[in-house]
Amino acid sequence: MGLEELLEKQKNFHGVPIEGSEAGVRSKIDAELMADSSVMQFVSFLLEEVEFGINILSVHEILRMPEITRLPNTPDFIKGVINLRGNVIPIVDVRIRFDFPSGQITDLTRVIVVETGEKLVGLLVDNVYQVVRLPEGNIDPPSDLIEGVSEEFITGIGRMRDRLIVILNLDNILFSDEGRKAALGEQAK
Amino acid sequence: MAFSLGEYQDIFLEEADEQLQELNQNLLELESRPNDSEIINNIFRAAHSLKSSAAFVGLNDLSDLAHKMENLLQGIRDGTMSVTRPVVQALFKSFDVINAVISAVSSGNEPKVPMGGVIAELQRISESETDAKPAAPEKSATPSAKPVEAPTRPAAPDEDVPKLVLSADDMRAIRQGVDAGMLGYDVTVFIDPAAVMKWMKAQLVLNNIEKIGTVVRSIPDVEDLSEKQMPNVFKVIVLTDENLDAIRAACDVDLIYRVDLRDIAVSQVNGKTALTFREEQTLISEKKEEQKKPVDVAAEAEEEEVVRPEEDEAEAEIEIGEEKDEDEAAHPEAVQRAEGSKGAILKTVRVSIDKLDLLLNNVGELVIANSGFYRLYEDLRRRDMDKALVNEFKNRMEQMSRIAKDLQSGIMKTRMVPIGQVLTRFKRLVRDLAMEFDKKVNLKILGEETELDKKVIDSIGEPLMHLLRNAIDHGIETASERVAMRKAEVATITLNAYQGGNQIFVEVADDGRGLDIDSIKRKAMEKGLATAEMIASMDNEDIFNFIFAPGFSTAKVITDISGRGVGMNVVKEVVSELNGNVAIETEPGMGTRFVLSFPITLAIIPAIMVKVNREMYAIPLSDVIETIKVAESDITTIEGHEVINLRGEILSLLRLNEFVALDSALGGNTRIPVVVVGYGNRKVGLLVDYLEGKQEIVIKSLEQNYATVEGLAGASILGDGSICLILDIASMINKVINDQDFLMRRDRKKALDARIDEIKEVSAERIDLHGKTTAPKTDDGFSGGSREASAPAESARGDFKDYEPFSISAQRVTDAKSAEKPVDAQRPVMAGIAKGDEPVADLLTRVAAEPPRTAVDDDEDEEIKKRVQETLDGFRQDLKDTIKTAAESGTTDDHIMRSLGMTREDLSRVQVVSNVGAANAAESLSKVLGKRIDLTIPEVRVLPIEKIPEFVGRIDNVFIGVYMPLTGDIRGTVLFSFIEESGFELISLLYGKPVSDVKTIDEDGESALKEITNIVGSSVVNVFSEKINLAIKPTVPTVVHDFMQSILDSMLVLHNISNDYALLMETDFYYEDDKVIGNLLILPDTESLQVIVKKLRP
Repeated sequence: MGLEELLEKQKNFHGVPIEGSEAGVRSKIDAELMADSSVMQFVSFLLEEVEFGINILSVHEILRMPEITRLPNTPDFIKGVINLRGNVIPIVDVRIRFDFPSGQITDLTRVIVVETGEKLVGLLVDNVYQVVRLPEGNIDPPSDLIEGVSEEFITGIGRMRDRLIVILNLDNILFSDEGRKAALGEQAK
Repeated sequence: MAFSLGEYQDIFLEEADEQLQELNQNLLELESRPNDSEIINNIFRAAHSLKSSAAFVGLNDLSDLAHKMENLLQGIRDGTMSVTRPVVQALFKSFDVINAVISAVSSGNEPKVPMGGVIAELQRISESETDAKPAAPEKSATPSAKPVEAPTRPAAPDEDVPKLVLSADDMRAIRQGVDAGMLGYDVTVFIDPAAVMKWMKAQLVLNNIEKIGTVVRSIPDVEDLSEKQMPNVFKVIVLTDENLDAIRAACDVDLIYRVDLRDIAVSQVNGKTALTFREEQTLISEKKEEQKKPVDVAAEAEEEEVVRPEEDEAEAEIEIGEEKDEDEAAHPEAVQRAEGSKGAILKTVRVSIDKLDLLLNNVGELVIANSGFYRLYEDLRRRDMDKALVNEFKNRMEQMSRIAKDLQSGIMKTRMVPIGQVLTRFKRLVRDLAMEFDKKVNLKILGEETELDKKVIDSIGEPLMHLLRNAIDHGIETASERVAMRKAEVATITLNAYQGGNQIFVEVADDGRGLDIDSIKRKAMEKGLATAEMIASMDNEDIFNFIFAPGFSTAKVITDISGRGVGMNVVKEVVSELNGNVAIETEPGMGTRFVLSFPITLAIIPAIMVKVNREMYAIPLSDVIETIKVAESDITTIEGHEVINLRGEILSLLRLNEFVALDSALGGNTRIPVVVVGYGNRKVGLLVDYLEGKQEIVIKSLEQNYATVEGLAGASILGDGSICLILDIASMINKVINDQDFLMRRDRKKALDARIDEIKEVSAERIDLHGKTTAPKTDDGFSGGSREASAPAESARGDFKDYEPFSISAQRVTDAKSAEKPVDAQRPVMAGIAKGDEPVADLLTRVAAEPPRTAVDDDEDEEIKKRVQETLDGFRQDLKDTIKTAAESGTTDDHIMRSLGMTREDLSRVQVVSNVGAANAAESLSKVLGKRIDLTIPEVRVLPIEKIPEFVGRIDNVFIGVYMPLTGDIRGTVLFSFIEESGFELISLLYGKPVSDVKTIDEDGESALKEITNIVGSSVVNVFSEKINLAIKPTVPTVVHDFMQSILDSMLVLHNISNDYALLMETDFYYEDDKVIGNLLILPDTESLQVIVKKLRP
């Protein structure tokens, strides 16, 4: 489902290759899934030179930049809503959500549709980089290593050879957390 | 993981709920009519079903409880117990426990409701009462000479089972038969009441029985009856050699759903023949039967129940495997009802509301997609197409549209449920509450058959409950009070549901004391919801609406106000959620009526489509009163609210574009479409840009995947797949009203402060609003004598102290923004003051209208000067880097650029040229003025036209704008806007006059500024011209002395800039280090922009 979609999208993907051939990847992924349940898979994207990962089980599908209808009276990071086959789903601009400067829409811009708390949410990201497989043991709890992104969005840090992948926690992606704001305000003072 | 009873949980919950309702309702009736056997039977049946289904899903405690209830009810039914108050209370208590279990299960929790107490109580009651139970006397047939009567049972429930009346001949025949070794049976046959040709069925059964034995009699005599007279139940006395199976087979005729049978034993009593009927057994039953039918010997029956397990209800049920128990089938009315419900079961499919929603949604989409065909048809018609073909297309299209609409209304109807089930369950609530508050209340329910959308039905319970609670608690007087007031001792609460037009109305009316308007007023003021003046100007209905305000219903309020309070906010909210409305009618001493109104269906609504700029919004037609057009000049401002006079009525206006944070696409001179919407008894005019007509839309919730957004009722997907947001007029107006109230309060406070404080301090506050920390001390304030330093210049200088040189560009924008704020903030102040204190208002008006001036600070801090210089130098050094940063920092322009076929590289190339141009311009300016000129890095942006004013900022400040159209290979406009004072100063500089003399712009002044613009603009344009090797020809400049907004507007209009996007190059010029001259804006039009970009590409 999500995986099929992803692979389909990866086929059209410019510039950033997924490892191995498409069929190879699929069988490899399948095989690995079957073989070892402790291996988790993440759809990763790059943002300000940090690689972020979303558990593939949460990923519903990946879209190219759709037409977004602005939603007034909502926080900045809510870009608007899109029509996903008759479903109205909100789009979160991940850059703004993570307090990065706003980015530009390019050919690589994607919307990762994820399911969180029984809601479908589109995450507007600069790109979709890879599907990475990480053994559970390679995932550490969040540390102070990652600057900029608030801890409420992070469930862990995945290590993969020389790469670090920030594993995202999607629970708080959709709503502003007053507590978080307050905390940031305190720090600023 | 939520607690679950497995796959049958849903069915169980639904049934249990129904049964519980039935129990409650019947018990209430039983209370008033304790001897009505039918009610007892109903209760018994419901309790029994509950017992079975609870056992089925494994809720054994519940099953036990139901069993105990059943025992108790059995006693009542058998007449061994009477309906006493403790019995009823115990039963009600049991129902509450059951209800608790059911709600625990339905909310996914394991039911941990202690039942021991209730079970024990039931046990105790039934035992204590049963002790008194008289032993049922053994009844036997009377001697043969007399007709034999079946024993009269206590609380005989089934009088329709024909009484066994046997003649002497019959008796003899039976005795002879039995003596001859045959078996005598009393067979009771039940025919489905829905069956046609019952007489035929009966005849068939008799014929069959004739084959295996002798029919002594049929009761009534089937032979003598016509089809019309044929009852549903008849008896056959039969003598046969065959066993039970044969009889069963004989009776097994289609639509005969039950056959009961009793052995007839013949005995000699005192030399006379007596017939003894043994325990009845059921041969055929399509439903699980309960064999509590009267028997000859009660004691024997008890025994046999144990001996013959199939007689035990629970076991029998399992054996037969039927889920529904229809006890008391023998009871004719029960049979009738059982059959009715049986029919319903056979013909009904339970569908989850979700599935229906989905279906309805799809059909809605279909209807909407269909509207696409109409557009297509219109297109076809306009073209010279084959007429016959087009007509055929039209026919088909209309046919399809009809089908789609039928389908839609059909599915819509499936969602409609009679409201009765909701209303009747309040009987219990009213009874309990009346007891609790010690009041006498009679609940009258009307219009139970009125159908409502299931969604409304599901949600309406809570608001109605609150309304009833309030009615009983606050509305209705105690019986003694009522008597004193010569009202009927028993109060009446009426629940009424009816349809009217496209709305369904549900009323809760009481004949109590009515709302106390004075208490509400007092409370509203106490709560700060309104001021005394506000209240004075409100009509009663507005005041009554205060009771819906959140927090108006705290415990304290209840005691303070004799009116209503509890949960009214909930009522309002739930009803609003359902797109409904609440109206209050009340008459002191006479009562209160709450009328809830709901649209008949919620899924598809007609809406007026409006546009703001490029965004489409839908306004539900039910909220729209009319649409009108007004000129901007018709709009006046009262206390900061924009209003118009609509046929003598003051109508508040609300600019939709402001509400959705967009710029209006309308120019100044057009008549503005206004959608007049009604909300409660309030009317508001919504200013929109365009009206796009009426359309049917399917509401999709935003909550499903996001959350409720204030002011939006949901979204709809239009025929072309795009999303259109649906405005929630009520919440929108609420939000605006709240904002306005807040502003008003703040303004009021400010106005007061302003009146008290020295003018000087007002001035200081104003400067503070600029965001500076070191407001210069001003001695003569804004007296008009000062002329050299301007506030923005001050502001710039002040800010420089706090900012790093590098961030100057961003700072400038900030400055521009902060500069416009004070004016905004002060406007309402003026409005507030205008009422009271004219002179001050005048002064303030001048403050606001003129850019503030500060005195020349002769002792200007050298330190500051130096730092400003450093800042500017540093900024120039960093110019290059900044360009790079500007080019890289992402902005929302990006997608615009993309749509224009531009890249960031293109933009940075334009930026480079602009820099050269700006430097050139500064040089020219410097030569003309004979002063050193500094400038900011030109900021280059691609913007939608409507964003230009926002980008330029300070749109509410007065500027002198000089714009110079460009012709030739590149078209566009150059705008040089001067801060008013700087403009005057430049004029005086150029003409060598004393600065203070120039207060207005005369012809000479105009030509001076035109000249400057020409020189400066041309120097920039020339750079572009050289770079791209195209001729750009500046034309005669025009001067406009006005607010920035107006300058921009007239420029856009006069130069007919109709493109969607513009490239903006903006530079601020300073002279004498820090004084702002103004800024230069260059706007090539879109095509020219693309040419420039192309030409600049390497």
